[in-house]
Amino acid sequence: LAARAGRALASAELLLRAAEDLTDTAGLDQVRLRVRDVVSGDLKPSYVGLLLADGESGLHRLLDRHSPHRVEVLHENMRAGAGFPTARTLRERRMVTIPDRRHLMEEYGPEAVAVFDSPEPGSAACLPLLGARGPLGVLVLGRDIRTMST
Amino acid sequence: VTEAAVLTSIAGYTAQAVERALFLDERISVAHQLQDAVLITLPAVPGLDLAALYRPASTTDMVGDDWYDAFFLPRQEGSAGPEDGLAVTVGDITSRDVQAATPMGQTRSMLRQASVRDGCGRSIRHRARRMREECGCEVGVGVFFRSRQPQRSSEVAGGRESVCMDVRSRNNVTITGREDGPVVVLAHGFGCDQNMWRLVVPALAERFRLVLFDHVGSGQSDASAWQAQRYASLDGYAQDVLELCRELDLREVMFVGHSVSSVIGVLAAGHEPERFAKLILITPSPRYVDDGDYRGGFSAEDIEELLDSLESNYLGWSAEMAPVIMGNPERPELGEELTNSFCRTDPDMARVFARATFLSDNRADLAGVSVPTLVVECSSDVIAPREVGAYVHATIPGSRLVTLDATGHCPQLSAPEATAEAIISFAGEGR
Repeated sequence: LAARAGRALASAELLLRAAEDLTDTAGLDQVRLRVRDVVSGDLKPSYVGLLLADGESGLHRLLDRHSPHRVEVLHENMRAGAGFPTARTLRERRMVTIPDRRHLMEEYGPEAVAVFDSPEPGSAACLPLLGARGPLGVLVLGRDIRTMST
Repeated sequence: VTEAAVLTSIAGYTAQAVERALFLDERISVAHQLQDAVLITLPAVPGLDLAALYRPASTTDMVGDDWYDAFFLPRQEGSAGPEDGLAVTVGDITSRDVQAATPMGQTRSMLRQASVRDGCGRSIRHRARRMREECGCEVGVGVFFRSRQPQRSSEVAGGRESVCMDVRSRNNVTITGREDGPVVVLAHGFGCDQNMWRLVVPALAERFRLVLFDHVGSGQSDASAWQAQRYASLDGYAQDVLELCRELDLREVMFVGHSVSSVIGVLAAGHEPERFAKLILITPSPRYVDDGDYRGGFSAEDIEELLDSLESNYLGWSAEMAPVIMGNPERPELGEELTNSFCRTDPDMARVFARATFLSDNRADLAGVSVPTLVVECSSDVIAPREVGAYVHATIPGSRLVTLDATGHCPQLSAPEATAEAIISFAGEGR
């Protein structure tokens, strides 16, 4: 019970900090940095990605200049219909999880695995960013340790 | 499930932040387009280096509330200068962000229009005021003028709500007469304006290029240019005359000064004698107060009483004194005209000018006059009696004295033909 209470408290604190930190952002670059900083704490992701929708045509990555991952540079843009989890997240407007590399290969194919291998996470979650007038992009959280629960 | 809910919430916050950032980016883009439209590329001006650094005051939209502009002025009809000038305006709207951008652009355009209409004249100030009234925002504008010729530069700084004028607008300059004629500047006396010359202008205009103006504080001069300290001494008016000559690039000037403007002309010629060809002093008086053997025509008590009366009841003083100054009681319309002219003058400015006029002692300046000078006096003048005319004539080296068969202090109104003849005769000599 104590452990559950501790996790609940940690989650509440995370959400409170996220709400605070993301409220006074003025530009996209600032949003990009704040998102990384917020989720880098308790969730311990190995990679935080932010992709923005280009109208109906696809997604482009909002680059994190401080990120060591090559995916930030190698895969800046993708079509909306591409066979990637991020594109699917945008199309279906729901969270898409990748529990492991094998799942990725079976569901999305080798091209997606190549992208997935760039930051080399063990698992990942893609979350749609839903605005008042439609989907705005996708938030990607990757982890080294497969602890993602669905 | 809990973690998924947490992630979904974070994604929701992120979405809101992204949406807001996109909106701001779009707004900033529009604002920058507005800003770019307002801030022009500076024109190339031979002999003048122009540079601009713009830093927006606001960090929200990255758009400021200030602007700058530089443009060539259209050549004015009747301009005596050989070339067009350049105007630089720098302004401030006391509002921020995009709200400021629109009135900023409007004001800039209105100032350009005003410049085209009257050569950056008096309407700029009124327009700035209108902007304030219509937009509910304060508009501060500084306007700088510069001739293309560096030696004719003039610059006046403006504060909030005040707009600085070029000399032509400041002194309501009128240029008329023969375009290729010698330049004659006509300067009016206390309480008058350039209209006082109207009866002699037709005869003079046939031969001379005439430059008429109103002293600041008189006639249709720009009241916003009034500075009590500057105009508390006659030298302030003399500096205006010199600025006018520089602005219009007037050389070989024949300066005709009436009453106190005679002394103003003496002072101006003392500062820049090379600019003046001749001085014509109409009913001059270097000092109105008697002093030892010097007869100015008034005791110190007379002048104090006159100034006290003027300061306590300017309109009453005008109605009483103007007919006395004018003389010619058999022609009451002349006194009435001078009364009306006095009454049109702002009382506060008139008080300062009156003190400078009636309390100055410029006797020592007369001996320094180095240009040919004509002294014109009237046979009967209670303000500048003949003893004063004789003194001026005797003190200015090589001067000539003409006594008009006229009464009163304003022969250009009471005896215009004789006055014009005296001016033409002296000004035309050697030409």
